[in-house]
This record gives sequence, structure tokens and C-alpha cells, in this order.
Amino acid sequence: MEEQILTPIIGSEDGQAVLSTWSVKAGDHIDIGQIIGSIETNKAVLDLESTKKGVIKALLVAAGTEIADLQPLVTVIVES
Amino acid sequence: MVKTLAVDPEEVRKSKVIHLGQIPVNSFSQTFIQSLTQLGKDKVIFSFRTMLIIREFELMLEEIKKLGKYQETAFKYAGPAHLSIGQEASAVGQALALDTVDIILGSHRSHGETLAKGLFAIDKLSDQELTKIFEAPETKHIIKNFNSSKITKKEKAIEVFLFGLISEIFGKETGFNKGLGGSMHAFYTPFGIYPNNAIVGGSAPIATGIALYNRVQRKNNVVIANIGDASSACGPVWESMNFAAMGQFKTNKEKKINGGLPIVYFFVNNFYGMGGQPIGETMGYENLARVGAGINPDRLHTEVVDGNNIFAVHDAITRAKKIIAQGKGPVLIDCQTYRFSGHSPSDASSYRTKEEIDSWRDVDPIKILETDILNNNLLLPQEIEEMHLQVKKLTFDAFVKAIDDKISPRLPLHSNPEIIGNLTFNNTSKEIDFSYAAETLMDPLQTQRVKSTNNKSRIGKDQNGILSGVKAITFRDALFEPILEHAIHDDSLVIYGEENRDWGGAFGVYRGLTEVLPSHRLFNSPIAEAAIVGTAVGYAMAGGRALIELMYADFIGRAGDEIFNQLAKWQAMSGGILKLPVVLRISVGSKYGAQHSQDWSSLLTHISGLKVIYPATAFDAKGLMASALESNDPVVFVENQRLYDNVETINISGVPQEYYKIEIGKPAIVRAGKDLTIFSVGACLIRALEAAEVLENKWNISTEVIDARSLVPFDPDLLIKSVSKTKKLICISDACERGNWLHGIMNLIYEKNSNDLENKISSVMAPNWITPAAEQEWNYFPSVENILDAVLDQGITLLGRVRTIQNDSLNNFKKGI
Repeated sequence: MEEQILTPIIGSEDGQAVLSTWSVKAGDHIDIGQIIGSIETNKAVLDLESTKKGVIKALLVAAGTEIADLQPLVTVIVES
Repeated sequence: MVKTLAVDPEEVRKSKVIHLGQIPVNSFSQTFIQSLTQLGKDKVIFSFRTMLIIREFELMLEEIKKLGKYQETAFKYAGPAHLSIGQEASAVGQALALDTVDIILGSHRSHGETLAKGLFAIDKLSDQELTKIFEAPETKHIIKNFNSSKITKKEKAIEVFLFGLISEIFGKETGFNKGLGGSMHAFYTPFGIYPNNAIVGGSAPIATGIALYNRVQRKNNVVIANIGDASSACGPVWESMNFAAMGQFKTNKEKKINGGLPIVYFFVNNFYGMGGQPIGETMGYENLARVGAGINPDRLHTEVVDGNNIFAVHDAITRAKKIIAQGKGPVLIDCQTYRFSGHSPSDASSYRTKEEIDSWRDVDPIKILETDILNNNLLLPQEIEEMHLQVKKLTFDAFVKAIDDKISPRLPLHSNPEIIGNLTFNNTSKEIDFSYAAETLMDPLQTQRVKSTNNKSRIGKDQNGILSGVKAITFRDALFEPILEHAIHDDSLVIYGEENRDWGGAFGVYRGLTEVLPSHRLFNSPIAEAAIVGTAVGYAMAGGRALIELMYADFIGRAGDEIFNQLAKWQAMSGGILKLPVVLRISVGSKYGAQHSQDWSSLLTHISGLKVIYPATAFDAKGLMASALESNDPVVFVENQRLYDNVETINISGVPQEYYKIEIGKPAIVRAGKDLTIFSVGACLIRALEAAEVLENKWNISTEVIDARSLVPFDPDLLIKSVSKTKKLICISDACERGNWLHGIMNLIYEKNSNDLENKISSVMAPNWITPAAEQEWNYFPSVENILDAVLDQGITLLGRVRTIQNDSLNNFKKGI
């Protein structure tokens, strides 16, 4: 079953943020809580943690892309 | 950056007992002969004579206050006299152990401390050094009517010093600080005497800041914070002791600056406040010294010392200096002594018995030392008698000169009342030196923050519209840029406040600075606003430059005395001798309700001695922050949290990359117009511009919008000219209506534009009650709708629009809201 990992609600004034780096790629196995990338806001650089366990089907945004709160970032084939 | 101090649950949850250890009481056991052998006859005699001088000095003031004369010479003195008769050994024992470069700050009754430190400095300094000091620009006003050739003789130097102190107490221009400080604020920095304080415990935060300066600048001298026993109840005193003992001074991983701050908290414990007794009445500790055990595992090396024995006090300070030299400070000394005199000359001592006073007179420190000196044949009785007479003459000679208006005039405030006003600000600056490289941990260009910022557009919009804050320079970035420049080019600049390191400040302004600056120049303070501001005052007083932050404007009350009485007043109280280059960043919150969202900018403008800046655009934020950081005056830099993420869309050329300054005190026309002027303070500018846009588009009304940018100082010429042109004025501010800074501006415009105004000036301000919750904020702060209502009040017809809210200002006034 496919599920998506979303941008967390960052709490910055207007949700402005950039997906600055990916530390995983399509095909990688990821676990819940694993750091899969970083998000840079004007206030801080934050770790992006996986909320799913499974295999990455696709990264939906490229590094350097501006992202919004709750935007889908990763499609994961989740393990049952 | 992530912290390295791990919090281990296994350790935290273990069962154990915390041992507080022991605090020695009167452990000094040396005999007089042993002390004499250690110190030598000359020092002992000099100490004795210094005690006599202090006693006579205080008796002089007591006689003047009670009888209106001294040695039959009449003089009326209206000011305060908090005397320390009986406490001479604590002051002299302390000074006996200090070097000239060591620094003291005085207590509430500080004449003795000042005299002792001064006289020992004179004793140690050479004639040439004394001449240089007395003739220095900051101090030569004292001797302007003296024949300076004679001052090199030490005895004459003592008389000059007494004269300077008496003149200061009597409010004379020849006083240490030109008579603007008076009895409780005298100081003389060339001898290591920094300000005394009329606020109980007020010396503690300032002294701690001077100790911070000494540590950061790697100086070896110690600082003594003289404070009374009753100040042990004061929050800022506790905050200061904790600040000096912060764990990070021992654990910072760079190991560049290590050890607690080099300071002694010297409690002159005379067992009384004014009349209340800390021990047994107003405090629960039973022994003042116990507070040391609450601060750190070393118990601040606290000792209780017999303050009537100069040798015990000398011994305690000498050992404290050794502890501090090893990086193990701070130290607390509970110096127990007694004042025979009342709190002040009007004190009838109704709170204590004659028997108690007499029992302490039996252990009068002067009597004790005099007996030892006589018993050991250091002086003959007639020599002591001569010394008493000579001290009386010395004091009288200084007194007579100090009351002589020819030798010691007053500042001519009657003919020139602005003398004090002109000492409020020095209006000088220290320009950034780009050729100097301060100590850094890494090249700032390699930090993620600077890399990101350098990739951003300097202008906040492009052909597609407004850019987001990750694509264009924000207000937050604009603040960061000059701060970074100053940080990497000025080692004297320290930056601190709550969560400033690692986190980068609660709103991320300092993000990236942690990687660049060593932890002694950028650090997290305790949540202790009084200590944050008070230490910055001391740090600046000592010669440094401090950038400090109170997370929310609502917290200024926590640093009330330090902002209102210390930061704001010391430049003028010092007669312009001291400079206080402190930038106090304060953010006005939003969405956080009553205690985190109030705009206190108007309150700050009420405090004489603070420059107040309140930018609303990224361009202004950068240029004004640069000016604030170069300023040698105290500046409160107000930032509104609504603005941090704003990109620059108002100044069309954007935010220049290079360093630039905007003059403090100059407003700006943000939008030109001819029908109406809107004058805006702080973040209201955004709403003012929005209203102007609506007026233009819907009703073809041309609005001129002026942003105050600075509140103190403020040059009104631009506004006056604008109102001459538009003949209509609306003023807006997020601060509460009552006491709003804008009322003064409005009065000025009524005066200067009396023939121009077609209507009474309209104002839109927050009401005189609490800020509601986030969802209701726009029913409280001035909104575009409120501004449009004010336009109706100007007699301008806005077709199709009726007033949305009715104001009942008269009734609100009666109700007190």
C-alpha cells in the first residue's frame, strides 16, 4: 500500500520553508523516525523525520524546492 | 547546533542525597602580632588612619545633617546621607587586600568603601601617576580651581579626593561626577571605584557585568560587589550570583575562557535594612551565608567574616582573590558588622535598643585597632591624638573648599537648565573597523545561514509577485547581517540573552552565529532579565559593547530597575563620564495573548536616557541596527514579530548587500501623497500602506504615509512639512492609547501646524486593556478598518462606507479604560 510523508506543520509565521537536502533516495528502505532529509526555514534547519516504515517509491520534490505545510514529500510503499 | 550536555534519565532518577557542605564562620584566628608581621607597621598605621578618616567624614555629614554645621562652620545640605559609622573595618580591610586595578562597586551606604579604595590607591600610585589621573579629561574638572603642582604630594591628593567626594555629595560641579550623582552614586574609575547605587542591591548586576568584561577580555583584576545584607532578598542579586556562577563558564567546550566570573559578592551585613531585620524577621535563612549554598556546589566559597576586624576582612578578600585567580569564582563573603548611626540622620533607631547599640560600641573596630596599636607600641597615645586632630583638619580643609562656591561652584542649571539634558546622550559612535578580524570559530561564509542568505534576492518581489522568505531577504535576515559584521570585527562585542546560542534566539535572528562566535561572546543567559540587562550595563561601563535581548517586550518589567534606573540613567548621573553602548533588542509579540503581545514602545519612550528605534521594513532594520551597534548610547531596538518573515517590498531597491547605516531619529516618507498624512509607529506601517492603497483605489484619495522609524530621538520636520501640505493627520500605533508617545507628537503638530490643520488629529491606538487571544487580535490592534474610520473622522467622504466601530473615549476615560 502506498502512503505519503507530508511536510510537518513547521510553525513559522507563514510556513515558508525549503526542502534543503535529501539523505535518502527512491528504493531505500526507511523506518519511522529515521532522518530522511532537512528542511530550512528562516529560523532554523530542521531534520525531516520519516513517519512511515517501508520502501521509498518516489521523492516528490527536488532538493532546494520551496515547500508548504502538509505538502506530500515522499511516496512510500509501506510494510504491513 | 546540538548541545553536548546530556541529560541521563538513569542518573536523574537515582535515589541520593544532596550534600550542601559547611560554611565557615569567623574562622580567622590570627593574632594582631601575626597580622602586623604579615602586613608591616606602615600598612597597619595607614589602615588605622584611613578608618579615622572614614569615621570623621561620616561624622561631618551627620553633624551637617543634624546641626547644620561642621566644626562651627554652617552649611545646609538637603540631600541624603546614609552613613556607615561603625562599619569602617569592613571597608578598610577590603581595600587593604585590593590592588588599584581591582574594582569595587559601592553599597547603599558607600562613602567608607569609596574612601578606603581611593586612599589605598593614592598610597600605591606614584606622584606621576597621580598627576596624570587628576589631570585626565574625565577628572580634571575636580581640580580646576586647585593649584595642581601641589597635588602630586600624597597628602594633598587625599585632600583632593575627599574634596571630590564631598563636592559630589553636595551636588557641586567639582564633584567626581559633576554633582549629578550625589551621595549614593559617587564613583572614581581611575582608582577602581565604579558606581555606587541608591537601589538596594543595584551594584550586584552591574558588578557582575564588569566581571564578565574582565573575563571575556582576559583581564586579571577582581570585582567587589558591595551590597547590604537586606539586598539578599532582591531578585536581581540572586540572578547576578547565579549569572556569575553559570555552569557554562566551566563546561564550555572551547576552553578559551574558563571559570566562574571574577567577582566577590561582599555582603556588608549590619543586620538591618532600614529597620527590618533580615535574620529572623524578613528572611528565613537564619544566616545570610546560607544563600551561597543555593547557588553552586562550591557554595560560592562562602564565609562569614568578622567585619569589625580589618585583618579578618583582609584575609578573606586575599583568599577570595586566590580562589578567583584559579578560575573558581565567584565568591560570597558575609561580612558581619554594625552601624552605630541610623539608616539616615532622621532615623530615631526606634527599632533597636540602646543596649544593643552600646554593646556594639564596645567592639568599635576603631577602638579595637587603636588598642592593639597602643598595646604593641606602634604609636604613642599623643601620636594617636595628633592623628585624630590631623584627620579632623584634613576633613575640615576639604569641607571648607567644597562649600566654597568660588572653588567648588554648582552647575549653572538656573541659567542653562539643558546642561543635564545634554549629558543624557553622548551622541558619539564607534565605527566598525572592517580591517580587524575578531576571534571566530569558522568563516561565516561557510555557514548554512550565510550561504542561504547570499542566494536570496535582495528585493522582495519579481515579475511574478512577492517572493517568499526563503527566496528573498527577510526582516530577520536584514537584522542578522549587520549583527554578524559587528560580531566578526569587534572582540569587545558580546551577544547574549535567553536561548541566543544554538537556537539562535527564539525567532532565529542569530541562526548561524553559534557556528561563528566562541561561546564567551555569544551565550545563553539564564532566564533572568534583570541580570541580562544589569550585566550589560556593567559590561558597557567597563569598556565593552553589549547586544542583549529580552525575548518579549512584556518581559521588560522583569528588568525594570536595570532598564529604567541603570541603563537609562548612568550616562547623565555620571556627568557624561560613563558611556553605555548597549543595544537592547526587544520583540513585540503577536498571537500570544496579554502577557506576550503587548507593544510597550511608548512606555520605553517615557524613560529619559534610552534611544528607542522601531523599524518596520527590512531595509530600515538593517541600516538602523548598524547605527545602533555603532552607537555609544543605550539603544532599545524594538522589533515586531509580525515583521520577521517580511521580505522587502516597500523600498523598491531592496536591501543592499553591503553594510550601510540609517541615521537614528529620522522618519521616512514611505508613500508620497497630497490629501492626507498617516503617521505610523512600528509594524502599523504595513496596515497604513494597505489603507492608503484602498483609499487610492476605491476613493482616489492620495495618502502620504510616514514611518517614525525612531521614537527617541525624533526629528519632526518631515511630519510638520507633510501636514502643512495635506492639512490632515492620522496617527497610528499598536501601543495602548493612555500615555502613548503619539500624544506628544500630536501636541507638537497642533503647535507647529496650528494654521494648517483642517480637523483635529485622528489617532488609532490599541485600547487600554489586555491583548486578547490570537484569533481576536484584530479586534484589538489598529486595523485597516480602524484607519478608514479615522479617515471619515477627518471629514473625508468615503462613498458607501459607514463607521464600523464607535469610540466612547469620554466614557472610557471615566471608567479608567
